[in-house]
Amino acid sequence: MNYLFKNILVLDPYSEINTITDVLLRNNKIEDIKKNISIKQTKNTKIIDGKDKILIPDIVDIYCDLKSPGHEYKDILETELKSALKSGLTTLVCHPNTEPILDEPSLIKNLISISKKEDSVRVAPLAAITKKLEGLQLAEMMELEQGGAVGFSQAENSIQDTSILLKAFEYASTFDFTLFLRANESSLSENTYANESQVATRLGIKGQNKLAEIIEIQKYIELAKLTNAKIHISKLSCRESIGLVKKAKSEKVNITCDVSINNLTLTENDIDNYNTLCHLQPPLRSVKDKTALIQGLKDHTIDAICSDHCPVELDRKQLPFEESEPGSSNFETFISLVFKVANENKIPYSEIIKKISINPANIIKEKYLGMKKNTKATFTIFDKSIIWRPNVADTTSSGKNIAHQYEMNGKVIMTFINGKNKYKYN
Amino acid sequence: MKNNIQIKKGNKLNHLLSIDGLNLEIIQKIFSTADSFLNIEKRDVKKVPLLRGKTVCNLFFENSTRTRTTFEIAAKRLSADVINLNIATSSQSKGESILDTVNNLIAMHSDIFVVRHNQSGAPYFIAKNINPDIKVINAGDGNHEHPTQGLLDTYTISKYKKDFRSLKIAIVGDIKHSRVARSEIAALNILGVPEIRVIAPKTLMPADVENLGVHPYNDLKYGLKGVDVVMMLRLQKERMDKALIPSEHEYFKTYGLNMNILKLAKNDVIVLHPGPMNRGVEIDSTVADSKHALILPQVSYGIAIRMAVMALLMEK
Repeated sequence: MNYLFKNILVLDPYSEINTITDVLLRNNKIEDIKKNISIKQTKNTKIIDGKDKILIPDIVDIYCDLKSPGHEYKDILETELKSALKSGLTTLVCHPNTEPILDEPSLIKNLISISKKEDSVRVAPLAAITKKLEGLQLAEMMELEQGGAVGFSQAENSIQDTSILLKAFEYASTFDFTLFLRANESSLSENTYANESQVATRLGIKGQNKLAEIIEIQKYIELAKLTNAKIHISKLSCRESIGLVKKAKSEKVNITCDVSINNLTLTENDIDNYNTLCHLQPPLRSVKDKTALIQGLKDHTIDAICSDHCPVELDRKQLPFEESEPGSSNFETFISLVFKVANENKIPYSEIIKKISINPANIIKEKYLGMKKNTKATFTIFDKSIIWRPNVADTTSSGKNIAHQYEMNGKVIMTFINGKNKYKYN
Repeated sequence: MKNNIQIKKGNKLNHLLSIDGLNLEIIQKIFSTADSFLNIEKRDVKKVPLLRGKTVCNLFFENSTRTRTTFEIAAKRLSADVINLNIATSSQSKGESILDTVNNLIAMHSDIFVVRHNQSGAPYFIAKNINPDIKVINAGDGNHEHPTQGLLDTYTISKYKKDFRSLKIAIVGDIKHSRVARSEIAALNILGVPEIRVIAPKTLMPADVENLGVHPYNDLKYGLKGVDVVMMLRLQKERMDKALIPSEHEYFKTYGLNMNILKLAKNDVIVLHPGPMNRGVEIDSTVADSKHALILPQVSYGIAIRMAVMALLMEK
C-alpha cells in the first residue's frame, strides 16, 4: 500500500522540516516530501487528509519498564509492545530490572530478538551496570554492549558504595559507554512514598526529602568530571537538580538528563485522598518543582521526556497508599500528554518533539534519520482533534494503572514501522 | 481533603476518618451530643438504647488495649453489640489483603467499623471500598490522624476555657510521627484558635508544618510563653533507634515539661496528655499530678465523645 498525506504538519527534527506539506510513501519508502504532490489514485494508494494531523518520525521513549523477561504475571512483552505501537512509540529504551536481571549478553540478545520477531517497535535494552543490580561487582559491560545493550543502568537501584560507583564510571569511560543513572540516595529514599512536604505531612505519609536526589546528582557530576564518563540522569524531579545539571553542562561535563511525563503533568497535590494511582517513583513533587522542570525543558537543560511507563496489577494499587506499588501505565497517554505540556507552556512543537525523538536517539547513540528520502521511515501520525479519556477497558497495556485520569486532546491514529502501517486507530 | 466522603447531605457525619475536612458545625454538634452523654456514667444503669440492635466492630490491625476499650465502653453504653477483632494477629499475618479481610467482615453485618491501622489512610481506603451503609471511625492510622483523640482533647479544653478564639495553645513532642498532633491541629484550627504552636526538635518536626496552620518552635521555653493550654504528646520509645533523639534523658532535659518551665505559661494553664504517659521522659510527675493536669478528665470525656460520634453516625 502507498500513502499520500495531504497537507500534514511534519515535525522532523532530522531534516528540520516543521511545516504543513505533503508526504508520499511508496513501496514503504519516503519518496517525496513537498507541497502539492499529486499522484494518480489507484487501489493501492491511500490519500489521507492531513487536517489536524501531525507526522512525527521515530519516537524514542528513553525510560520505560517492560517487566520482561520475568514478571510475566504482570504482563507479557507482546502486550506491552502492542501498547507501545498503538501509542506511536517506535523505539523503547528499557531498563534491566527484569527477572532475570539483564546482566548477561544472552538475555539482551534474546530480548532484542523477541521484539524483532514481533516486527514491531524496536526494543533498545540497557544492561545492568553491576551484576544482579546488587551494586557490588561490575557486569561484563563490553560483552553486553556487543550483545546489543545501548547503555548501562541500575534501573531504580542505586550503587551505595561510592568506590564501586567510581569504578563503574572509570570502566564505562574507558569504552565510552553511557551510564543511565537514577538519582536516588538509598538511605534517604528508603521507606518513603511521596515528596516530603505539606501534602505528605497532612496525610501522614512518609516523605522523601529532595536531598535524596540532589546529593546523588552532585556526586554523579563530580565523578563524571573526574572520570570523563558519559552520564545520563533519568527522571529528574526537583527544581534544584535542574540547576545542578545546567551548571554541569556549562562546565562541559558529559551529562544529559530526562524527565518523566508524570512530573511534568502532575504534582504532589494529586496524591490527595490517598490516590494510589499517583503513587509514583520519583514521587510527584511541588508545583514549584514542576514549573522548574518545564523551564528546564525550555532552556534545553532537560534533553528528553520519558513515558516512565510502569504497568502494575490493579491489586497492587488497591491497598493503603504506602503499601501500594509505585508506577503508572503511561504508553497510551504519553504523546497526548507531551502535546498538552507543549500547549500549556507555549513550547514550540518542533522543540518538544526533539525531546522524544532525536535527543534520546543521540543519547543511546542511534543514528536518527527522521523522514530522510528513500528510506523506510518509521513514523507516527497524531490527530489533534480527537478528544478522549483514558479508561481501563480500552487500554491495551496489561497495566490498567493510569495516573492521568482526565480528558486528553489528541490521539495517535497511525504508526508506521519501516514504511509499513502497523497500527491504525478505528 | 478534597473529596470529602466524611460528610453527607445536610452536613451530617458519614464517616469519621480525619478532623481535616470536618467543619465547625459538625464539631459543635459532636460536642453538644457528647454533653448529653456526660451524666450517664453517674447513673445506676449506664446505658441508653440509641444503638440497640446495632453492631460495632472494633477492627484493630495494630494493638491498642486502651483505645479499643474506650470504644468498647462507648458502644456498650449506647447498647450496641460489640465485636473485637485483633487482626494484627490473625488474617493479615496469613497474607490476606486488607480488602478481603474487610469483605469477610461485611458479611457479618456490622454497622460501624472502628479501625486502627499502622498505615496512613487505611480507614479511608476501607470506607471508600465498602457498602455505604457501613460507617467507619478512624481509631488511629499510621502517622495520619486519630480524630476521636483530637475531638476529646478539644472537648476537654472547652470545659475549662471559655472561648477557643482567644487561646494560645502549644503542642509539645514528636509532631512528625504523631497522628494525635495532626488531629489536634486540625480541630484547633476549625475551632478558631488564633495561635497554635508546635514545639519539637527539628528531627521530630514534619516538613512544611506551617502549612497546617501552626507556628513551629524548637525551644520549649519560648514556645510555652503565655500559653493557655499545653498538649503533650507521648514519645515513642523506638524514636531513639533512628537517631531522632540521643536519649530519653536528654529529651527530658530539653523538651520535658516540669513545673519550672510551666511557670512561663499563663497561671491558669491546663495540661493535656493522650496517655499513656512516660513520666520522666516527656512530663515530670510534679506536673502530671498537679492541678493543671487534666489527664483523667480526658478519659471520661473521651467516652462521651466516642458515644457522640457513634450516635451521630447512626443518625438517619
